[in-house]
Amino acid sequence: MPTYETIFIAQPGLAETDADALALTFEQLVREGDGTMVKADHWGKRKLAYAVQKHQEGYFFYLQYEAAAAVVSELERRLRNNEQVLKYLSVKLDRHAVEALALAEKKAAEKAAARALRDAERAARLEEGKGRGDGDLDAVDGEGSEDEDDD
Amino acid sequence: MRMGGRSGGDRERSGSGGRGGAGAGGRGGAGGGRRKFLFRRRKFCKFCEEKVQYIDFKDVRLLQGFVPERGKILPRRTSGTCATHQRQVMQAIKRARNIALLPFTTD
Repeated sequence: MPTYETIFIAQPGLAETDADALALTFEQLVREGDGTMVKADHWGKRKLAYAVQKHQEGYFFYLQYEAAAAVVSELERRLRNNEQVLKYLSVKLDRHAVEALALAEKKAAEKAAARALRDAERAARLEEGKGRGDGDLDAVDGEGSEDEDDD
Repeated sequence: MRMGGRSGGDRERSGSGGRGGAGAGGRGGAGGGRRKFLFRRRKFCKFCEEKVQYIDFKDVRLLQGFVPERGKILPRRTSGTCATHQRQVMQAIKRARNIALLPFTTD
């Protein structure tokens, strides 16, 4: 089944819980239609590039799923009818797209992990009074990487 | 696609422009008053260099490099991208605009 991604923007005035609940209903819809959710992201409030229905910010949601085409139309129909949703966009992903997205996600995760590691090591080093903090990883004595909870 | 008509002709006439930049300054020495575009011509398509297959419209930072202040999409001769990737960039920018990640115009 083809993979699609849908982004929709909800009103910024919503409470967080309401917004999450809203996103869940759409995820549910996908599952009901025999689709599989690949990814569901909440990007949170973001500044919009232009005012949409007099709002300058919006609550962004991102869904990636595998489903039949009928599911997509139904999802869009619901999004259109829902008054809290300001904008939506569905895109069909071809295999290049899916690969690229998966790769990008992996890279981002690796980057985040590496950065967390570096920060932890730096924090440990500062505590011991060495205070170099310029991140030269080859100088690690091997004790820095495990202490993530030295706040 | 809509662009097939007019722009297709232009691309053909300019010849070396899209061949991966290997044509170096081919069009650059057009003479007289064309000095503005001289230096840009040589730029390689950075997407071709990285062998990028898909340009994500959600990657705002990447796309912003192709959209200067006014909000207009940069022409190929300025950005140095090859035809295929320029089309992908265009599509990505238009999608991003539709979902308010990029502006249509700034004033």
